[in-house]
Amino acid sequence: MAQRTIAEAKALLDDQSAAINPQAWANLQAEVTDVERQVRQSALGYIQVIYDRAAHTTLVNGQGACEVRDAARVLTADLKAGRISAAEGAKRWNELRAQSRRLSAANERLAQDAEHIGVIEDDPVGFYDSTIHEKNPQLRPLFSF
Amino acid sequence: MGTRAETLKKQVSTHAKIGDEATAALLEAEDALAGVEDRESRRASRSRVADPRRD
Repeated sequence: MAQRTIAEAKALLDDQSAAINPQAWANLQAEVTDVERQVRQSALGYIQVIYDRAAHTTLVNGQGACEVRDAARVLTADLKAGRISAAEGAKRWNELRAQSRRLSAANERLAQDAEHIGVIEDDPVGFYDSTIHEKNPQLRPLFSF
Repeated sequence: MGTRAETLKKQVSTHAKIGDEATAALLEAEDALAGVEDRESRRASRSRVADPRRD
């Protein structure tokens, strides 16, 4: 038994393919396939957690951006109609600008989350291998070979 | 690119557009604010000219 990255296990099987009898090789190959399936499942669970959190944030962000836009338009109308003083207008404008900046920063983080999710969706096994397994030997899958 | 990433990217893009509209609205409000500040400033100047003791 040995803990290896999936890439290491596959490379080892490829190297030994000629030396191992076909049935034994198929069994080892099935072992790798099973580990890949488990890792893929874990990766999808991880993605779902990030996605659920991001989806909630996008909903809040979208509403927030609409509120800032609409409030800024109302502010413009109030200022042009002379309904409010410059001091009141400046106070509201500063609050809206601060809110707008917060939303913009949150949207940047969401874009990064989307990139991150995309990388994992494209190659969940490769992602786990290159991040978790390579950096943490104790977390590498256990193989019989 | 998988479906979740695509969905999220589309949402981010949509919100970025609304964010751009909000920025444009804020710029318009800033102009309007500058106009009000200018009017108030001129009004205050006129008051000072009319009644120098107020300074």
